[in-house]
Amino acid sequence: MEIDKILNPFKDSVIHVFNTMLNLEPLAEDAINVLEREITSDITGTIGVIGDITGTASVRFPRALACRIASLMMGTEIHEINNVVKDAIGEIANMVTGGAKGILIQLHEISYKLAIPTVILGSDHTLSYPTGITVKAIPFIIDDQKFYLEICLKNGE
Amino acid sequence: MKILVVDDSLTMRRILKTTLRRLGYDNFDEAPDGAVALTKMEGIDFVITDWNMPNMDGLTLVTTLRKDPVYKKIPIIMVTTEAGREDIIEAIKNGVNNYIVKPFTPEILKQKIDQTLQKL
Ligand SMILES: [Mg+2]
Repeated sequence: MEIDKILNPFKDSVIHVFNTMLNLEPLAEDAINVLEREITSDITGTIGVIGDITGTASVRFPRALACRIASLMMGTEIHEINNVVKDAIGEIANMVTGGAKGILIQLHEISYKLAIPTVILGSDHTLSYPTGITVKAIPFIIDDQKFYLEICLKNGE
Repeated sequence: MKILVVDDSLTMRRILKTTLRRLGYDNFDEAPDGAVALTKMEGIDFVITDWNMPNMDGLTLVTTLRKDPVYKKIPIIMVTTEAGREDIIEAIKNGVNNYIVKPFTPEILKQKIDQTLQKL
């Protein structure tokens, strides 16, 4: 299974989640190879998947955008990363990965199980992966803010 | 009608409660997992539960409720991201009345609740 074949359903799922849950229209840019261009973020929601494809899918945000997303979901203004923001970003990761599964089953009969989301905090943190593995990311733009979908997925268990 | 909202995500519980309030339902309780939900069942008329939760997941909650003579027929809607067809079939086999895939709009939630109540 080519990672690019998996990337598109994840991209569509991100757009669907943002449209439906947040009423936001993120614009996707071209996919980038993370091993050539490392990505940093302030908060990352990661979901482990296991099944026909195995690995991780992450959504990665700068602080301000994460707070904006949590504010929209909660219906209150949130200005700092707190437990609510962490929960909201974990739930975004959950919805994106679950939504991608629905598309992947229909298109390619690829199925997997989702783990409970993990949220990583830290100004400008990077993610590390085992060597020799392909990691791809899609940048998305909302107004002047940028976030990333980052996936590291390979065949089988 | 008193609704129990079961989800490990605080954000998701908030979204569900806000949407339910907008639809005219204002009597509810909440629980972060199936195990806590089981302790809050008294007086509940309708359950909306997530699938993926720590401690006790939604499917175990549904199977447990369906074995209890008191809650054997209580309406249950499963809200989850597991968009796979096999999961929907499994949930319905285990006694779920209806199913919502996250992300959802308020219209979909309303439609599913109405459908579920009509079929009782
Ligand atoms: Mg959950």
